[in-house]
Amino acid sequence: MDRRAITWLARCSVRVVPAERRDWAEAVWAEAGEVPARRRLPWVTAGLWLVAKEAGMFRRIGYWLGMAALAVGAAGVVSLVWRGTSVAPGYKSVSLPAAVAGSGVYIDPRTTGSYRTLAIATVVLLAALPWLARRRGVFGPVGDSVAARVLRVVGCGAICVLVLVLARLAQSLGEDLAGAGATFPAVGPIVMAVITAYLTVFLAVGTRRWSPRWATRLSVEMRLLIGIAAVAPGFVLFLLDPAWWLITAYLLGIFAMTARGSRITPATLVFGAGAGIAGGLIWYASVSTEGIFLHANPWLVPVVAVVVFAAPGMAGAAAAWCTPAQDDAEAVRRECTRQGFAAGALTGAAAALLITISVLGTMVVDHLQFGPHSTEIYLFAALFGPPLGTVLGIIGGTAVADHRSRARPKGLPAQAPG
Amino acid sequence: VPRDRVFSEQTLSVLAALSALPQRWHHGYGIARETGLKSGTLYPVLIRLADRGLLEACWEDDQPAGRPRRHLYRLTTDGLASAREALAERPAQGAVSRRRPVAGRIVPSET
Repeated sequence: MDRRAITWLARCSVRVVPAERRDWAEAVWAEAGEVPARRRLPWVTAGLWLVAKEAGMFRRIGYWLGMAALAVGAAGVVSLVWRGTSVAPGYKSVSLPAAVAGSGVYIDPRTTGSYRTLAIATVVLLAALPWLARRRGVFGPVGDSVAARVLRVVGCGAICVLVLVLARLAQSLGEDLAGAGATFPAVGPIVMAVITAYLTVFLAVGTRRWSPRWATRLSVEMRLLIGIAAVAPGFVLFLLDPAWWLITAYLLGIFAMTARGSRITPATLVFGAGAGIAGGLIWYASVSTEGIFLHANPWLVPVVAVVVFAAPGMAGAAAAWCTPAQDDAEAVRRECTRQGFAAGALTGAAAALLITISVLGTMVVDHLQFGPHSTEIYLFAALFGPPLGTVLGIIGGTAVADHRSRARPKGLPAQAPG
Repeated sequence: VPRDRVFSEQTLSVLAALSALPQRWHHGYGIARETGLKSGTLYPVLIRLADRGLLEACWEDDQPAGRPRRHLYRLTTDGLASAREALAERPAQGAVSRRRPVAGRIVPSET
């Protein structure tokens, strides 16, 4: 590698390095000319590696690849929902495989508007994700731990898969998913109130930045007004589509849990998500065979029930056990309860999401229709999974908190975490 | 200097090279020759040491003929004290940990 090539590489690479690191990149290139010719190539290669690392290029490449995947996903949902060939006045055919294409499954055009709402909401949601992820505050940027990063990516990926599955299901089975609220109009506002209250409690418990200093100086009425103003967009979204309100709530939950300002420890994220995935898989494996497996082995029914329902409690207990030592018994109890709360919520959410995606995905793949309200049933599971997990997680967390409080005399000095 | 730091093997070798002649300014390729480290390992070590205030860096004042100006490095007072302390406690040659050391990483000691 001659000096002109080195100079050219140096000029190009140094430009992409942040200003505070530019001296170092220039230093590598300045030395390259002095390195003996036979060692120059490894020196330059390692220098380029350093430049790429310091410029955060791998993260940038990952970010843009993620954005491209989101754009492709959005385009896929839109085309899936918009596509359709007119086969008769007032009807649209669905794109089913040839084997079942002649089975006469049609989409009623009255639902087409709902599908289009679904598509628009998806695009809005996917467009808002990067903004939400990078903004400094309750929902971002992502925490430093590997667990937070992995959970955020996997969680968002799972939500995108759920969106695709719902869109596909809506198209191929003709279910009016977007109008799910119309099926149970009376419970719609209750559902929204449950989600809003739950999300509010979750944000208050789990994040450091939920109560900024300026907010504490405001009157209760003013805080209430701000709260209503903040919830209003959610209400509009809910009127458009309750399923989308639920999906948005899940996304906000994932972002709040994995944000840098979150009080939830990486161990809690690992235990919560791990227990949720395990519980969801066990549940799906037991039920996906239409109960035949459990019917043949009835003794497994209580085992599966105990394992699935004990998962949030165990996750809460494990998370509380790994909570860093605190100054006094009260702080230990508070922190254990918080981590138990978060681990239980995460377990319930992960299990509900996994079960919803896998069951609805199976319906899409096998072209099954379990009943007119089957989709809503799973959306209800997604609604009540996190609160149920939270209750069990708190029980697990407080049990461990009691144990740790008794084991640790009050006033013992704190230990450094980790 | 706090006693809550341990250095990786690569960092120790860089500290050894720099503390051998603490008043002299060293350049990257010279340190690489002394320590046997490649640039991809050496520079991250130097960057982390500088970030922690253990190393000072500057460019050569004059433009030498026939080669670019060098980036020069020297341990700070804190850096020299840390280096001497860490090198005094350095495990005997051959008793190096089997774990893959992370270049330039400063981790809390187990004490």
